[in-house]
Amino acid sequence: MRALTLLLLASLTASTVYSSHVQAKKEQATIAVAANFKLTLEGLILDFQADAPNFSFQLVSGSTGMLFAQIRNGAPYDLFFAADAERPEQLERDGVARAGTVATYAVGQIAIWVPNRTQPWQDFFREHRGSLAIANPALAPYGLAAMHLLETGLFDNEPKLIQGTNVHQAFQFVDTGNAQAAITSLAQLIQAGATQSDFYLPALNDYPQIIQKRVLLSENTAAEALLIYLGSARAQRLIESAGYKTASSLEQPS
Amino acid sequence: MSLIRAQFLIQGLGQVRLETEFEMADQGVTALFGPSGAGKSTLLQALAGLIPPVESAGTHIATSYGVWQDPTQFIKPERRGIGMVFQKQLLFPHLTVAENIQYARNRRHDGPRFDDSTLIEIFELSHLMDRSPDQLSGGEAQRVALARTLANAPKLLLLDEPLAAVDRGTRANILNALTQIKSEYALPMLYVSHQWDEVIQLADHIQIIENGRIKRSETLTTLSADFDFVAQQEESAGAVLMTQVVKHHPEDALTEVELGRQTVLIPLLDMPTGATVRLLVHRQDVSLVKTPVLHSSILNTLACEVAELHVEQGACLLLLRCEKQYFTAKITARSQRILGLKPDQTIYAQIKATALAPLVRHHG
Amino acid sequence: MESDLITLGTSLKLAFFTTMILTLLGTPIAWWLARSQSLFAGLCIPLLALPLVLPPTVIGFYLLLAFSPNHLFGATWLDWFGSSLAFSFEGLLLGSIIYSLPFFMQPMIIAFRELPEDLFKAAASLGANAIDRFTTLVLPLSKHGFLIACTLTFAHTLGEFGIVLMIGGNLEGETRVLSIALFDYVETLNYERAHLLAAGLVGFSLITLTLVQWATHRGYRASSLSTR
Repeated sequence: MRALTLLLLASLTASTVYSSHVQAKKEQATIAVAANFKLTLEGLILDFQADAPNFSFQLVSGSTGMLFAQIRNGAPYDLFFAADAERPEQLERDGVARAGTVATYAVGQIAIWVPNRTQPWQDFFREHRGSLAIANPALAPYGLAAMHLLETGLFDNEPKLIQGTNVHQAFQFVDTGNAQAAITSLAQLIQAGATQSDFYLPALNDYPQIIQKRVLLSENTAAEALLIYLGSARAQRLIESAGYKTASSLEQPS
Repeated sequence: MSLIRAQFLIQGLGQVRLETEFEMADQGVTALFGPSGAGKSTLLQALAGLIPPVESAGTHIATSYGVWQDPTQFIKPERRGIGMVFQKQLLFPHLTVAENIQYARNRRHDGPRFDDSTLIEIFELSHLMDRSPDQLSGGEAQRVALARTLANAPKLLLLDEPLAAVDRGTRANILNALTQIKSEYALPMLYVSHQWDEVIQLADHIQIIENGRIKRSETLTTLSADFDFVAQQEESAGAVLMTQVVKHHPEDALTEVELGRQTVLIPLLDMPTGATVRLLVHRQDVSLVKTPVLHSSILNTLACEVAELHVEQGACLLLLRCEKQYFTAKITARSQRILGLKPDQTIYAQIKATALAPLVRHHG
Repeated sequence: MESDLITLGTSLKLAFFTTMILTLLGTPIAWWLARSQSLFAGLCIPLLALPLVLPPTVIGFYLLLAFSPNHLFGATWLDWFGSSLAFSFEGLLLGSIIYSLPFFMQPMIIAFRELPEDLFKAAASLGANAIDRFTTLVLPLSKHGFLIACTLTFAHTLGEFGIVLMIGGNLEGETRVLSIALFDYVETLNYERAHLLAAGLVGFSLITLTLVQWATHRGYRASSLSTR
């Protein structure tokens, strides 16, 4: 058993080394991405690579705070997609990131998800007395936005707030049946294939904008090429269909 | 009257360890004598209820206190009222000597009672009471273990080679104590040993066990007269002569005991007149003369008859009868020829008083 | 600072109850496992060690599923007690007990196995029944085993993170424990508070391990003496 595990480990290590060796011939970038944007970014990269096959990207995903701490401590990432505006700006101020490369790449939307809802939304907001899962407002911009939304008096009765580390966990609490409702991100619900009638989109001005910014951390051809692609109308449409607003869509409401 | 009638069938690890009938008298000391691995300890443990019923299925134990085991019931060891002394001391390491004894006293059975002062005296424990078991020598610990068992007031005392792991001094003390308990208390004992010398100093009945089966059950007297059996025992094996104290000669540090119509002088004893003393006679300590020698440093001359003799490889082993009791002597074949010894002949056995060191405590 | 004190209180309460319940329930089970020769007991012992090798998130994941009213256990619990186990102190306690099981059971099983069987035979012949033997011999003679098992369980519960993260829901005074608070501080760049909690946890763990080391050493000495 032990020998088998060792063998497995050895072969894994070998394959990693091998693949990175092969990829070294291409233009390569390592991207740190906030967990909520990871799947969307993967889709975007695939789309980008269809036209530019000589670029390759390695994604490292995690919470914005964790990635931020890693970058500050010298993690070798070329590009950072944060779930907030603050962290990329902070990195720029600290001189860790390249000056003048901070920009908004997406604006998050929150959604209230109630699977198996039996009442109309108005009745639900009036009568719901159970739990409500949200992302930790101290950690996640989506959680903070959720708190602001609740302060508008959306629910007649104050729900019992269950905090997940991030929107994924808030979603999971409901998905496993341990909580009845969640305030999560629209992107999360779209990814999970939630039924449209099960979620409710609050008005954008009921909560502070969840501005997600990115920043370049090194001089890297692949990373810069990707950023140019992301500015394209095609990429912007893909981001919007994933459940985000973009800077352009906010300027010209559709 | 028998105290116990039992039919043992003990199995373990796929083989039979003990399959025998067993009967024990309600008086005196019964010894279970046999080589190592014969099943002695197994029998004792089964009697004590320390072998789980799964391994002892088919065992029946009926006692005068009730049935202890048969196919329908199994009385737990703690409810059998027995006291058990093991080969190695099993004192509770977290309790002092006094606390170990108190532990037993708090869970007393309804056999004869021994108070603390008696136990402290006969096992010489006064300076040990506050010690913890890890501060005791092997011999001290075994004395405490015996005292603890007796404080528990058992109705039956089971002794599993209690002298196997102790020094000579402790051996004498414990044999002494057991002799004293035997004469003063009505406490039946079952004594397991493979040492003939221990057995004869204590036992009244001897059961010989071999390969998990009891082969013979005899009184000590009968077995001592069995020349074939006695000849099989090891070279240094002895015999006992039962004597009674007549009087003490403190000025010579001697005690006079009688053996039938004859008297024997032995080192001074602290025992009352009339008390029974077992004299242990080793075959090498006996020399033989045809006529009594009057002026000799050897004080004891016993008139005996040659019961049987056997010559082999230059040595002659004789079974001697003296006042209806038997002991052995070993001389050279040459001496036997010179003396012309043959069965039924009268002969005088000389034994040094100092060789007749009995068990019991010496004066002073 | 005040919220840190509440969190500390929750952590201590969780560690205390986990240790207490494991001591009460785990001790007889460990005793049975240490001495049983049955196949079932033989299968139980590796099962008990499972939380040692499984990532806590695996246990947390299964607990989350089990607690759900969609599943039998969670539904039954909800029926009986009227509230769900998820995101409650009781749920956390159950998770901690499961996760700390090997930390309590393994030292106890080892301690119980080290006890010389013959002592119990001697005690039985002295008239002590099984319960008597257990309380007057087994418990005092496995003192160092208890000390090791309890300190390990307590310390381990204080440091538990993965399961709490999965089933806790981060409710102050209910399910927010030190390790979670620490995680939040690190995530929100509040390194000063993070340092305070981290240093506290490190210090406590060091003291605990020293204590265990000391007790183990004493235990070895005691057992080497008793088997002399």
